[in-house]
Amino acid sequence: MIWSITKSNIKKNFSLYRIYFLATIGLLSVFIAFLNFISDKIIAEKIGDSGQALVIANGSLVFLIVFLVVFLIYFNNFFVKKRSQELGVLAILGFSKRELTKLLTLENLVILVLSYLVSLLLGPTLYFLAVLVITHLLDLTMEVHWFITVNEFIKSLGILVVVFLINFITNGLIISKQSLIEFVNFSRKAEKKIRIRKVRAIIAITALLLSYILCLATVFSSTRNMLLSIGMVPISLSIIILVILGTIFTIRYGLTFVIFLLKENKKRLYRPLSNIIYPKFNYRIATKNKLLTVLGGLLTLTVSVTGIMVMLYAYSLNGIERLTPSAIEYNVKSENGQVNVTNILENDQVSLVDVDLLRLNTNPEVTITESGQTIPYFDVINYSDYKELMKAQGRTNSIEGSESLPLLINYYPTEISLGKTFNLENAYDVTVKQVSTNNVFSFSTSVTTLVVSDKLYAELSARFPEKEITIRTFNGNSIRSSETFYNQFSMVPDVISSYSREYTVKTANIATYIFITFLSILFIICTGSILYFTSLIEIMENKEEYSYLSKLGYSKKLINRILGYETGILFLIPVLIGIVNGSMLLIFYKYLFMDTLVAGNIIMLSLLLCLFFFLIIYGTFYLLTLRSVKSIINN
Amino acid sequence: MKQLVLKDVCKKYPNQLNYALDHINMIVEKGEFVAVMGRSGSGKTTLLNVTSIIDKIDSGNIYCADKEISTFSDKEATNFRKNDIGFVFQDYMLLDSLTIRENISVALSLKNVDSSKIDDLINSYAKRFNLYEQLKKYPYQLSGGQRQRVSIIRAIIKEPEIIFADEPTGALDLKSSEGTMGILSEINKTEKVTILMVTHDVLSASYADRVILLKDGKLHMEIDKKDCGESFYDVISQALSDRGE
Ligand SMILES: Nc1ncnc2c1ncn2[C@@H]1O[C@H](COP(=O)(O)OP(=O)(O)OP(=O)(O)O)[C@@H](O)[C@H]1O
Ligand SMILES: [Mg+2]
Repeated sequence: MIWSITKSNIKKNFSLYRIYFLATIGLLSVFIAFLNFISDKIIAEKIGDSGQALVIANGSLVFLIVFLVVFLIYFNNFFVKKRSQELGVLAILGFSKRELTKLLTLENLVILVLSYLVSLLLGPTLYFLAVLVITHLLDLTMEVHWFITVNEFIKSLGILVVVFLINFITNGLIISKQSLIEFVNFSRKAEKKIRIRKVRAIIAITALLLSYILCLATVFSSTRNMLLSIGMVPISLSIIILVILGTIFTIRYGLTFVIFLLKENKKRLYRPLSNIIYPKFNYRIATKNKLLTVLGGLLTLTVSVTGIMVMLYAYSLNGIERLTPSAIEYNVKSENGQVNVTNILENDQVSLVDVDLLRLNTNPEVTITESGQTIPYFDVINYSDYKELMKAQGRTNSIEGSESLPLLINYYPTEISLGKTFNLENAYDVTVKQVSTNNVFSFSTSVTTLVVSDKLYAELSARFPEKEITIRTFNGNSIRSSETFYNQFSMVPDVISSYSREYTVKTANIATYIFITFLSILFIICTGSILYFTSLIEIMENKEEYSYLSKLGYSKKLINRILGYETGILFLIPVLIGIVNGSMLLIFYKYLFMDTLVAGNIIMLSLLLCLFFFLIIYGTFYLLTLRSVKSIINN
Repeated sequence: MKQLVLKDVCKKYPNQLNYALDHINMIVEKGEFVAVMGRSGSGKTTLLNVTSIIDKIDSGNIYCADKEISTFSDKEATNFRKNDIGFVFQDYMLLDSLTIRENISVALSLKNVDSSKIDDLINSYAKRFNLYEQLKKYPYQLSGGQRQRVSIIRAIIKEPEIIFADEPTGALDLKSSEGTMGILSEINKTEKVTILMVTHDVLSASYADRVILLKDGKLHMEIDKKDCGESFYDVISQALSDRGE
């Protein structure tokens, strides 16, 4: 009897169940994909190497389990509440509370078992696709294959059993606690009166804006130094606290207040569209503010973590240019005839520049950082060599004119040595006329390069011939990332190569990169399926209202626009909060925790790309949801 | 002047054997208050739906103030509903998440009424129908009778030419029914609004000028108040019981 009702219920309410199914499957697949991910041998190996990634992995697993359980329970509660009227009808028809609990339990069982089966297939597939995408995105070489392990079967089953038991208990509680009339009126209960809290709203919005201002203050060096004088720890802490509290209370009080203000403007309110959507927004925010806060928080987390990863990646990739300005660079002395130079130069893309370099002691020592670190010598080169090497490296635009000689090329950005006079080898005085950070050699070859006129160099070289070494460089755009080109030099001791540098950067942190990308994808899917689920249920609940609107004279077009806004508000709030909070925190991170050696605009560009990517993904989620919503209403 | 004219109107639902409306011919004069009665399934709601062009007819013509509305496009139909007619339904059709004031204002903002006048209009109507205290509340906080009055205000506040009402007293007790019918007949008298109302209830029907009886989708009988005078109520009851109801 109960079983046949369960079956017919599922059939009858298929559209409602379908949403429940899809959302459950979405979350469960994400979890299984994650298990798949950490049991992948190749990745496990890489994670094992990096303690940091291991911590992230275990932390995320715990987080994901909690998240999964909480949301599966949330879905169930949500679902039961939406159906309370129907349960009330059954109760009036004479179903006992025990029978109703049994009915819900059976339905729950069917849904969880079916979702489990589908997710076992979908999870590994998701994993497979995600890793495929990641390896392509990050340009990594890694074998990808579809697999599933016994461990996954058991773990995900365990979680489902827990969820099932909890749902069983909560459903039992909901049903036993409720009187018949409450069943019938349950959905009304949710419509608690919407209170306007003006002071709290203003404080919340101010706190959030203040945290944004603090983040933006780090962009300009003067305000940044002011912040730093207070101290890194107190500033970081207060920004994070302001962002968190500001966000929570802005959603809770600020938004209703803003809509209240909008509604006060009658000119605005009394228009066909706003007359419906403003009150509906208000209602939505009042009844869904906890969900919106959780989603906003998740999105902020996702955006910041992904953003930091993208920045670090862009930073290290971009750093390669600075760390290895030439494709190949070595001291001629350390090579003994293994390199076939004529052969190499047959490729007319390749240019060879030999630079003579004099390492001369100086008094006083050269200060290389703002904090006062010093080096006791200069690496002196002549202007013609400097120009030739810069040209070979393709940096013609950054070549300094001969009027700026002697030119000090510092590895770190500091102008302490500008205008200072140094005594070389107790013999020559030079006064630095210009400083620059456009280094021509790698860090390990030279940190304090001093470019002098050809004439002075000739004199110095004649005077201290024993201090001269020759640095050989190879340049050419196509060879910077070429493994075959590098192989021709790999036997030279201490050779510095852009290829091997790039290789190290990419492989050293591969586990962390893959990991964070993967986590971001998981978060996106989780939040997306929750948004999808909630929007659809909300709209379905008030399905008949749209037919009222049409009877009142709302055109199809207007109704579709109302649907667009109504669905949009659920998406927009968390996405906007995630992206704005996330980018503010990222700006803060970039300017306070990353040194400014590497071109900031490349980092900013990659960040913008990352934010844009988030917008596109959630935009797509929104459009998909809207499509389902419209098809529900228009039928 | 003729407000509504139905000529040989036929309507059959898909996969249904019998006509829901079978060659209906009728005329409603401007300012007239007409009640439609008949047993369950006789086609009353269908008649109301097709004359308010919520639903399409299979054959025949429907005119409203000399315009043929049965051939209206979707857009024309929307405009017609928006500007010329008001609805009062048994289940009130109020939006749960809007306050009473916002529910009423929908009708006006849709008609692009000057926004500065909307609040005053709502206030004066609410006072007239004893709802002023309720304007800030939400529909679920009101009784059935109050909700029905809200939906009537929403229908009449935009000064439509016709009001369609489908069992407006269906869910109300005797006292609330009388209140609701009082309002409808009052605005029919003072504002000269044409009313077409479906009802099961003889008492409600007796507020009308004329009662139309439907049977199996056909027009069975018409009773005019002018012909009966004081005995209108009894004549209607008699007519209904003659048909075994
Ligand atoms: N959407 C529909 N699809 C198919 N048949 C319908 C539909 N709506 C109504 N009918 C049929 O058309 C006929 C007339 O229905 P209608 O709803 O007009 O009756 P009614 O007089 O309003 O009845 P009641 O007093 O019970 O409301 C009935 O036989 C009904 O079964
Ligand atoms: Mg009916």
